[in-house]
Amino acid sequence: MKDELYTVLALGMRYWFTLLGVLIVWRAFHWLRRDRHEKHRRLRQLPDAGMVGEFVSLNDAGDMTVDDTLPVPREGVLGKLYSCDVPVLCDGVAKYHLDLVYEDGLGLRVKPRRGLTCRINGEELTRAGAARNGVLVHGDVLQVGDAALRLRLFAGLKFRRPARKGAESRGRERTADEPMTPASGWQPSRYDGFSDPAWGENPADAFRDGGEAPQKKRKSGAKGVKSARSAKNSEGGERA
Amino acid sequence: MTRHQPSRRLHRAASKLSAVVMLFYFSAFLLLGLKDFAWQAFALALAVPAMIWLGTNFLPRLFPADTLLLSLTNFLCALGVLVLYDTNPTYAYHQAVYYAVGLVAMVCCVWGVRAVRRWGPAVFMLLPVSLALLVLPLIYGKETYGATNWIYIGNLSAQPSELVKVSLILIVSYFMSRRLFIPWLLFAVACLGILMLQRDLGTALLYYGVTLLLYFASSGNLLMTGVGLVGGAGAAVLGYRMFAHVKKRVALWRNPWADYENAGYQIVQGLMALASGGLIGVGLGLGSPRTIPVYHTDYIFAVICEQFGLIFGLCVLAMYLAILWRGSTIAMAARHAFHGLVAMGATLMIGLQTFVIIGGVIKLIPLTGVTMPFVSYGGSSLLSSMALIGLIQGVASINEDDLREDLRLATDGEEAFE
Repeated sequence: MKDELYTVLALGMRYWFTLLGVLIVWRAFHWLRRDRHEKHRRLRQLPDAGMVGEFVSLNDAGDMTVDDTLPVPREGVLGKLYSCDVPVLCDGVAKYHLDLVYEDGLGLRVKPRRGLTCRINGEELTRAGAARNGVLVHGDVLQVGDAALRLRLFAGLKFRRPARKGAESRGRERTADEPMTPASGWQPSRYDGFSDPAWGENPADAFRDGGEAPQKKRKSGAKGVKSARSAKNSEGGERA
Repeated sequence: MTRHQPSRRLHRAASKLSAVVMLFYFSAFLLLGLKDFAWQAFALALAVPAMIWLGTNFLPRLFPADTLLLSLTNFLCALGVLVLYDTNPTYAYHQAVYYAVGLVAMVCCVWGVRAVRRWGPAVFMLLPVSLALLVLPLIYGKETYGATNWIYIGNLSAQPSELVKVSLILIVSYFMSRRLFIPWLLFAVACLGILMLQRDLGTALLYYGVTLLLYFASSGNLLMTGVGLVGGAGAAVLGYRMFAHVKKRVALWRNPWADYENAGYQIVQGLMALASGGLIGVGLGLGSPRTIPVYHTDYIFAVICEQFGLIFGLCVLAMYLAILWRGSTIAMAARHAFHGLVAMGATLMIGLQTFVIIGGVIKLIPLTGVTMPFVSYGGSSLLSSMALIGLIQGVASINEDDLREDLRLATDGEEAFE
């Protein structure tokens, strides 16, 4: 093609390429915006997205009252600060007290930070012992500072209950939607140093004979959200 | 509970974007083909849009891909091929081959992020390998443009520091996610020390910047990040006083016209190219991009602005911004700290590199020897950029899997109690 002809063509095509460039950018940002709306829509349908369960407060401690719920993420930090993934606002809890990681098929692994401890079902857990004993499963009680928190895992999550002395179920894989009664092989967690008159000497007693959980006014914690899944779990427990 | 189905609106958005991109490259290569009636240009006018279509529609069937990231990456890579073909067709053919290899690297990174469950052994293996790769140019390399950061094996050359970018992100993210301060700090210091010995200050700046920003992302500690920034500034002042070539670069940045026929020639030619392009460019195939020294790597952005204009140059910048936005969103949606940091690190690396090179071209900051991600000529650069996108894609696909798992749990929970 002659140079003059090509020059005219190229000069004319400048506007075309500029237009297409702007169009590509507009389309890309339009897509970004739509995708963001789509994601928000999906997350509205799944209010517990990213969570594996919740902690239910068993006592009044600090800003927390009985039956307050705290969502538990797959991975996070439990501590006294609001910026923590699980904020527990009471005495005896450090700013960043322990790390939580949910392990598929195992449970919620708990690892206290250096120099700190907690209790799982009454047994003290240190950082050194966390690798062996620091796993919470559905129904276990975690004591951090003055707070006692029972873990509820969402239905459908599988975990392995560690073998305990005298327990009928030894390390059998369970799911969180199995009813918590001795008939189903569930053993109540036994521990020292905690009792709540409303729940009996052992909170598990409320469910042992198919009784109903004591009716307490439900309050949400600092980040606690009453979700559809946790409501279904509590109904399942009462039904048992 | 409504089961999630892929949105038709998003699918239409994806199709419309790739259609516009395909039309752009078809018309661009057709125009170049009409210049000399070269059959290669006509072949590229069909092949490049076909590759873009395949990349955007077929690749997502092989692995769960973020199609928007794929589209933008494909556009930028093809832009590099287009501009290189206009200036030097041999470079364009090489770049097309590097792009194909880069796609393989991207898929490998996606698969790696998804498949590897325990990163500890992989990271401890990467540590010595990365340091060994960085040291290689000091032993076997030759000085190129003032830095000893290339190795030559026969006809092939490679820049190990480009490849170590990927392992830097993986290693630093692993230790930061476990709050192990000393290992990542030692590794980063070792890398920076080796790069200073190579006199590759541009890459050292990238490594330092990304590590510092990742530290802030993982810890939120503003005080220590500020200390790091001040330390970095202090090191820059020290480098200015110690290295003569740094003093020269800063002097040229301040006034390239003082020695525009010699040392300042590149900067001056780049600025003149930017200015001569105006808003809509001089026209594809016109102008004189080859008067700019190293136009195919450092100054490719000036070539783009000369040919297509400043508006198009801003559009290219906007695409990088879109990649940054998307990468940050993917990082913040990650459920595990390690995955979030990997995605954030890869995003920051691309963003910082883009800022450093474009800032140098427009004389915002002193010029450094880094390349423009995806666009600049160079196998190592393109490979590492595609690998970084692969890391982000891998985390995005894990995020999608996690959301599907949440939906399954929500549905199972309902069924269990019905």
